[in-house]
Amino acid sequence: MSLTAKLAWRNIFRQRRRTILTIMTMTGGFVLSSLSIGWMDGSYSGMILFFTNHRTGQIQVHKEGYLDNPSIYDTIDNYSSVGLEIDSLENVRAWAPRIYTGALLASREEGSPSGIYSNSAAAAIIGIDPRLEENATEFSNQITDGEMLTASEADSSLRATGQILLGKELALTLNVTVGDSLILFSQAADGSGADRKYTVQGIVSTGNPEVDRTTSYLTLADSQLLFALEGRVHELAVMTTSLGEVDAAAAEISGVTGSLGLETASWKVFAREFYAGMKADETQLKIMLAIIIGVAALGVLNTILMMVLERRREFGVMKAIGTQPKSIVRMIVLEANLMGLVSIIAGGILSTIGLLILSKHGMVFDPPMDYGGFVFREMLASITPACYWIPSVSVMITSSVVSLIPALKAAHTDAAKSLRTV
Amino acid sequence: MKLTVMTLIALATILQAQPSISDVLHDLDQLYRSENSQADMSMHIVTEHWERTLTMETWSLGRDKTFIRVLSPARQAGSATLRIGSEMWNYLPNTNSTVRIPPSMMTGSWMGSDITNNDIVKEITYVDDYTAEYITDSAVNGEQVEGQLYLKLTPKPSTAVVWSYIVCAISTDPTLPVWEKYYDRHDALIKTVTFSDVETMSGRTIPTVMQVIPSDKPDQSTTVSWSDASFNEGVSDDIFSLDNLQSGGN
Repeated sequence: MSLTAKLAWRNIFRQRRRTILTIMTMTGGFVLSSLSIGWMDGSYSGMILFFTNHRTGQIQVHKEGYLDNPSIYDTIDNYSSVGLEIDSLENVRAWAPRIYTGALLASREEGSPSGIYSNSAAAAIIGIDPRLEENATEFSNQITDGEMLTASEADSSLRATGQILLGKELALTLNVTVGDSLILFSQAADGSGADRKYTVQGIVSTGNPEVDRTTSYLTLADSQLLFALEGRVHELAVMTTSLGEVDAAAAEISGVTGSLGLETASWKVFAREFYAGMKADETQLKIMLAIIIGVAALGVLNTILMMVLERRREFGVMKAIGTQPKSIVRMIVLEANLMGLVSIIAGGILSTIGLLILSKHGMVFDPPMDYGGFVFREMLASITPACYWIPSVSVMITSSVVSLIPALKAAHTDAAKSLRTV
Repeated sequence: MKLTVMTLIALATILQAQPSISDVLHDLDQLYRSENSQADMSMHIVTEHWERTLTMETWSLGRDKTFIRVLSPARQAGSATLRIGSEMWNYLPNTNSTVRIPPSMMTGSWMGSDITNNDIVKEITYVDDYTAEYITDSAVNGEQVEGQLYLKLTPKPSTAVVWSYIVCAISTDPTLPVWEKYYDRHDALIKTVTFSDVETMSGRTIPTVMQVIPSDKPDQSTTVSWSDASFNEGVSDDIFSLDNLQSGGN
């Protein structure tokens, strides 16, 4: 260890109270920034993961133009071969094909003559492949009553009674429960009338009442037959192995679908409202971090300035016995850095405890908060590398920069003058 | 003095050339209506993606009862629509069920055509629900045709329709519609309805072909053609019942 380093190390134990004050200021800054980052990261990635994993997928493939102007005719033909090709890509975990249409659903009013369905409501129809959908979004977790759709006779015959899942609020509107029957009435893609009898197989609660008020689900095969869309779907939802792989996976998928007149969009595009809000909040976080770091830096500057003033005589002696000014600068900066290092260790430990608590017991929203179509009930922090490296780098940089001015001041101490006056 | 008399005579001639608006509106309202009626018609629908023709038989009684039974194509034969007042029901032969059309679906398409459920229900009359004025501005009604009158019909505030006014061309003697253009509040055309093939059926002279063209989809159209019609020859009230609807036409 060089003499300067040795001196610096000893110096920080000379005035304990001052040292502890400096370290506490820096540790406080560290912990505050670390928790803010963890909280922000946690809430967003939690929301994105929840929403994309349980509904939309991280990436969606549509016919070109479908996202801006959805139409029953804009379909992905040969969807299963496209889907299997996407599924074989490295960053893809799962995929699910979907059909989106609309229909009139009607149920019988109690006591009305048989065949008369007077209780009717318009609903969105989503055709899902039970096995692939379960694999991709764990769809059955959203079924609060009854069971998941299964393959049935309705998948191949228009005469058979089909299975339908209803959103919770939609079931209330139609006044039906599991096991009741209803009539679906719509129009197929070839212009003919589409109608079929259904038994309510289950009730779905996505957590978003707006969605559950208007949405019902059929098996993909059933909806393809009913709406004359054999072999065709409107959407392929793709799950990636992790959120970090979304852009890479989207690029890979574009390679597969680009030549087929299909459009690949990541959640940043199809949930652009949410993404824009998230970006705006991220800027806010950056400003907040800058303020936290600035306040901590001012505190550190203050204590170091005081220290330099108090030790003027000492620097005078050092100069008098021939110490180089740059050695004094190095020593003071090193002292600040050493205190910074201690703060990083202390802050790291404290932040980890705080983050662990916040990642288990987050903020609960009751009623759930709707954020650009994403609904979430609880906000949990997540522990990411950014929670540590951003505060660490900030502490080291501020301790160096802030101590430089007092250090230069100390280095230029006039030995004779300071020895005489104090 | 002579000049004034001349002017008065001239003015009288012009006034005589334009029948009173209320008479014209009354004639238009009564065109296909009567105390009761029965008609055979076909509906040809063309869209960008498919094309099909439905044949059907219709009955009406008074102003608020309508019954339509689809005869072909086979997949839809037996489908029927019953309208009583503002209530509308559809019979679906596949499932042997009758479904009530909720108010929220009244602006929806009827049988995939450019005719809405509201057009079928149509309790509205020009006389009661619109204010009308003659227009001569060719900027509004396009090329003037000799012997045609042009009317601008503005719905009264209480009239629930999606357009803000209609411009229609009417041929006189007898009073028959030639075309109707529906505009929104930005003066953009919503749809054009043209009437042609004037024939006399059951003693009444009517245009037997009506074509609807939505302006946002110029390749799309719905053409309704009357092949036979009888007016005021008696229609049983039993036709306009849920029982008859549910019978599927058998």
